[in-house]
Amino acid sequence: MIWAIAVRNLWQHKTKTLIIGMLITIGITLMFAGNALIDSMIRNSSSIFTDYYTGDILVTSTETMGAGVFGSQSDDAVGFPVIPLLRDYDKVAEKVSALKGVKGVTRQLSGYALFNLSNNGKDNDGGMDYGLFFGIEPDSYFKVMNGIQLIDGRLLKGDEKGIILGYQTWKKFKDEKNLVLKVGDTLQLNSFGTAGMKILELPIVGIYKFPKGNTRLFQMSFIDAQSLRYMLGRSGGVAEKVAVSKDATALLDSSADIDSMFSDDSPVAAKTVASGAAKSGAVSSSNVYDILGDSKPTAASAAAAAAAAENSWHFIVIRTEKGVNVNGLIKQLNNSLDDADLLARSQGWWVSAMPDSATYTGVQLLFNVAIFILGFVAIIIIMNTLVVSVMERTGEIGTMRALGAQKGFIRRMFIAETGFITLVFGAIGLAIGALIILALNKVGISTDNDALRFLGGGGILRPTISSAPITMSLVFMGIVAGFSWMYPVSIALKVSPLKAITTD
Amino acid sequence: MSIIQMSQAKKHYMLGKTVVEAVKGVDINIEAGDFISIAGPSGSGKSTILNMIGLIDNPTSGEVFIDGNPTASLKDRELTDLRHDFIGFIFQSFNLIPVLTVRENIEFPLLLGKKPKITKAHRDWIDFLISEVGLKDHLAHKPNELSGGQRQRVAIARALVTKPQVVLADEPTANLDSVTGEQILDLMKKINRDMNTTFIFSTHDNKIVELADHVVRLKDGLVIENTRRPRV
Repeated sequence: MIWAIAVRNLWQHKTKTLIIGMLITIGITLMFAGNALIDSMIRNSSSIFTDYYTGDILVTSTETMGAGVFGSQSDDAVGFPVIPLLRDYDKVAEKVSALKGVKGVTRQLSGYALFNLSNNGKDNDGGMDYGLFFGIEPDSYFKVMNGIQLIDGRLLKGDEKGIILGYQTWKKFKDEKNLVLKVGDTLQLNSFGTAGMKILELPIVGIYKFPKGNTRLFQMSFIDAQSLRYMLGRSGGVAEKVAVSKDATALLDSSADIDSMFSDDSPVAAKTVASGAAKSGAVSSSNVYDILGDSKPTAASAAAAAAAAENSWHFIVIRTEKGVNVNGLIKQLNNSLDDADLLARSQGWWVSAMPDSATYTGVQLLFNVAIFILGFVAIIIIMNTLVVSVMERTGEIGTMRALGAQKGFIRRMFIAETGFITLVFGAIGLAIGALIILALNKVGISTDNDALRFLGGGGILRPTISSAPITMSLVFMGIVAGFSWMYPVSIALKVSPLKAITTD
Repeated sequence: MSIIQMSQAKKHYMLGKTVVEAVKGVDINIEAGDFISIAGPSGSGKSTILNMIGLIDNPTSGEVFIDGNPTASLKDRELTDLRHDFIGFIFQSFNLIPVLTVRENIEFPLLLGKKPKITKAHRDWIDFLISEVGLKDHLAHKPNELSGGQRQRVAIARALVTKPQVVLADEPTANLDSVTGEQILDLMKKINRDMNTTFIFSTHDNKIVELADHVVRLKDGLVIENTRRPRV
């Protein structure tokens, strides 16, 4: 009977019902379609990051907070992110190899360096431009992370030194610097971090892009791990065998008159006078160890340093088998790393893709805050409409109370009304939202706008419906229904049975 | 023992800053099976007395006893249950639930009790009431599809559906034409006689006063006449 009264009352007051219903429908449509869209964007981004950048699980050092595959929160002296190396790499790798459900494992370094476009062997002064580099072990890396698409050239092989230039970087040099690079050209890389100034020339082995992504992500280039170690000052003193042009190394030439670079009143020069060698005049690479009172590296110490350098990695990248519970695996690996007191942790794509991934969450949060503000406004409007409805029905409510209806009956009657209207119009909102998402899925969303490409993950976005937006919409419906009846019902419950006599 | 007893019942209202004494200390005893008319001019306090007897208003002081039990200290839930189980209401403006059909309106009080279920016995009783009030052909009609007389017949059937011991009727003929009013009164009198249901009317209508076997006349919140007549 309560449902019959509720539904018939809603039908009898069609205009009010439609106003409330439309508000609910609009709110649920926006909430559902918007969240489904954002959810799809995040899933799209998730697949881009896991396939091309972070893997399913990334093992990193615990020595800094928030070390993602693009760097950590802390910067070095010149503003490049510092990523600590994995300590006890062998032990960490051993823990990783014990995991089940793993499809492939590789390791990598990440770092920033500058392209010195003035020394490119071409009649062009492009100045400097920064770039992000993944230092990789090509054989294992491209086996595990196999989404790369070569536009020109080939992949790196074995211990080969070289660079696979990101297409976006190549395009940027072409468009902005008028520098058309091709496979076989050499690129000079400079770095000025805490490890001092480093200069390195590498041949371009290939130019690549990923099928999906955005301008920022496409700027990343691959180089061999040993070259990146050198640029980051992590090479352990291993001699570089990469040819660097004479022009580039002129500054470091031992035959150059280093004294001439400093005036006599330079505090540095004054300090070095303490050394006997310095007193005699010239400082060169052959006597610099004598001046500093240190000994030259021995063959044994050099070999040990080289071995240590080969195990210098920022990350272990893990791809899992399909259907594996990645979060469970992360938890299992972290427990195992903690038990062994290793300063390493494993993390999923979202943490590894920081700060990019935080942007997606931020956008979703902002969207939902906006929706909840809309929901709040809707609740107020619905509440007011229901209050008017209660006021119009005080005689009816009073009659029911006089005939023996307990307050609970009146409460249930109004809850049934708000519940019914929310369910019906909420379902319509869900259906419209689902139709919008299905239509967008058919059509596909693509854009040339960089910001939107970043948010959408890049490529053509085909949004799909997942459980999260449905759950959120149902929660939203529950909140709207739950809150909007409270005040009107409190008024209805105050209606005295006397109203049965005094109304009309 | 009186089925309803009012003992020194007073009711004061605040009208702005003025205290209005609607009922100034009334003693009334109503016996089971009475067909009682509480008569008086407007403002004499008859509706207030009916409201207090119907437990939809409390006396400011004094006491209303229902079936020998005091009601002043009862909580809202208990008063509601007592109204449901003991009293039936017939309103001047019929007060039917507009969205329910004739049959649903009559059934409605049965769904408000502690056991909100309609049994076969209930259905038989409803059929009997419908037959008694002559609404067999209007069961699926909504109140707005009925005449005033038909609506009041529905209200009578609804008031009787829980088999209450007392039916309160507030000016039941006020919104009806004289012929229909007489028919309604005859119907209520018949039910009073057949079922020994106590009927308490508040009315201006002399016909009801003439038909009553117990008349209470009020003036300015006080009883000025309380007479019993032999049952006809």
